[in-house]
Amino acid sequence: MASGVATARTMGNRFSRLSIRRESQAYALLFLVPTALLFVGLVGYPVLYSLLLTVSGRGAAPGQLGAFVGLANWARIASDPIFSQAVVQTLMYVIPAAVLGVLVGLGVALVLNERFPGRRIVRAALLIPWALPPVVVAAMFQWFLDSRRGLLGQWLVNAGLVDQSPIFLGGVPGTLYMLTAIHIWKTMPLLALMFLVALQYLPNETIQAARIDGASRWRRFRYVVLPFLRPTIVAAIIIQVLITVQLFDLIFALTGGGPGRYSTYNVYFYTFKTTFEQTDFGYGAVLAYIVTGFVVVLALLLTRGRARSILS
Amino acid sequence: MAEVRLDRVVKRYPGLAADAVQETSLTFEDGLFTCILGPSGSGKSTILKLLAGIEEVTSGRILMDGADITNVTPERRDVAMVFQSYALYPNMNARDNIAFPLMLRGLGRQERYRHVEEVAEMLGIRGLLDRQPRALSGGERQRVALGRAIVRSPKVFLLDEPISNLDANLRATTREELKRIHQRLGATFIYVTHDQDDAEAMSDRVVLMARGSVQQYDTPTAIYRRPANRFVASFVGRLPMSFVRGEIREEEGRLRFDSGPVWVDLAGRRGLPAGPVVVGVRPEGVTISSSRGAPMVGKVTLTEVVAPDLYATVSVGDVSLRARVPGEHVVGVGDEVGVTFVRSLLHFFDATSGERIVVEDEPATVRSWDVAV
Ligand SMILES: Nc1ncnc2c1ncn2[C@@H]1O[C@H](COP(=O)(O)OP(=O)(O)O)[C@@H](O)[C@H]1O
Ligand SMILES: [Mg+2]
Repeated sequence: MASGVATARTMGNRFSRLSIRRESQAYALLFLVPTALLFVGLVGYPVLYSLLLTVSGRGAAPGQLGAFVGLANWARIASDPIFSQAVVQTLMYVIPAAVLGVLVGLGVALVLNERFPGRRIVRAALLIPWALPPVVVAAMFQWFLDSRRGLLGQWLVNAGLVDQSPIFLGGVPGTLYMLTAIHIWKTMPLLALMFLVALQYLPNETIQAARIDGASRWRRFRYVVLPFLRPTIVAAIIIQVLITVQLFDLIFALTGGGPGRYSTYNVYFYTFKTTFEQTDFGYGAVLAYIVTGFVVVLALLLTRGRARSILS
Repeated sequence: MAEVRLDRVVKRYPGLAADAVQETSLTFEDGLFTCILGPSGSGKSTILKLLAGIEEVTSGRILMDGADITNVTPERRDVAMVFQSYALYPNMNARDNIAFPLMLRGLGRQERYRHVEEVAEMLGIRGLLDRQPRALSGGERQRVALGRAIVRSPKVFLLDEPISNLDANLRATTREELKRIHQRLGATFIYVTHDQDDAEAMSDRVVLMARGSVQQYDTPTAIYRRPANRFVASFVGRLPMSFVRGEIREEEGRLRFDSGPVWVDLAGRRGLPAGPVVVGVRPEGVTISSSRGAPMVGKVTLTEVVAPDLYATVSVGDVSLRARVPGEHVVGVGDEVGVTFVRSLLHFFDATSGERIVVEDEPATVRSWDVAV
């Protein structure tokens, strides 16, 4: 150690007179500077700027700050029927996506956790929907659900369930449910993967012990597996809510918010429309703040409250 | 109470060249404490899993009290198992862990917990019942796992190295306790271990395994005194047995074992065929004395203390023999000593197969501590 310090000195290292601890702290700060600058520039500035947008009227050009209008933009929320509709519809996406997505994901994980021939291939295939780019998913389902040439309609007709292919993307609120279903199809693999990973941490012997103790398959699930997965289920629900609140691409690509004027809007999509199509940046920023606030609260819940129990 | 029988049982895991358990027929006697002893990977746990039903036999049958239970699921076999990992239910406290089998049998909460208290009393863990498994030490988890087995009062207890993860002191006390529990319950205990001390301390019978096959099934003393082959001979015993390869010859009507510098007069021992043979001898079968006038002389190359005894390794020519040094002797490395054998403690093994050569006048029982040194 002494020789190490001496060498550092002879090399003229300017941290050499600091203690090791201080020295490493100094280095840590040094390495943090670029990231910190990037963070301030790419996150801090927009956050501040959009906060200013919420209290300004229309500017000279879209996105520029206008006259100070106080909380007028914020007040609009209360009397905006489209916003209320978007909130309700956000819930119509989120609740089934969270409940069904997590249930199906859990079921798939339990099946894939069993030993059967070809399990590896099925496990790999499971991830395909999650890995597909959203645009591809949208295009795929556009074809699949097409009312004249879509595969799904033809299957139903061929199976004798209907005389004529139904219109899948046309009804209210049927279209929203269709989007939710596609969204669940796309996100379920992620949830199933979370459960699969968690299940790897439940020792096989624990399940075997339960069998020997006399527990049927259902009771092994009910009393051993399910309690073990509880923290993961909570995390999965939060993550699914987070993802679904931010559902945008499917709506954009498949319905553009319709049928009708707003029947598949969620708050996120409404934010986009308001900001970039109506170029109402002030009100758009308010909406963006609402979505972001919700997401941040959820993310905090996830990292603060649950992370420890998930990791332990 | 139950007798458990393996009838020509074979277990092969897919993708494994050798059978984990080669064809084995074995009876675990009713109410006895049987240790399955053997090195790691010898198939001990596999046998236990077959008995529990969590692995299926490749062929053969498993019988409990004569009834074929080969195809009975683990849920419906009346056996309890304690795993080496303890396999406690991570989300239940100790009380509910122990109560779980009773809950599955439909006992009410009050009654369940009453049984749990009794068992906890017996194991000295009443104060721990509210703890979660992760808040318990290894020894405490082991007790909870044991409690979970005891509370069921099963016919058969299967224990897979339940004390291997404990420290030496705790292991010793737990052995006594297990022995007491066995006596109290009178159930059939089948106990897997790689530690011969477990077998010695607790068992009525020992099944000694190697590479998936039973090498010897006997009482612990017989395993020690009449090892069935060289593997058993070298596996059992605190210090390794010394082996000397040589030849049995008949000279002037007297049998004699010869291996260059080492020889033994075998006069009076019958049933030994002339020809190549391996002689095995434990330290207590080698006596050392003053070199003066001794017919066989060697040099001490190593001394070891295994309290309370002192052991010396003596080279006689190119043969190494480990000897227990009588209490009053003091030897040091480099000393010249006389070496003699306790003839009744010599073991003879076939030079090629390693199987024991049974000597006709072999004493039925010789306790190792009977031998004067
Ligand atoms: N589930 C399994 N799949 C494949 N091979 C196994 C499995 N369990 C055990 N084996 C193999 O069977 C042999 C015996 O294992 P085991 O009974 O666990 O040995 P022991 O308990 O004596 O250490 C070993 O070679 C082991 O690798
Ligand atoms: Mg084992």
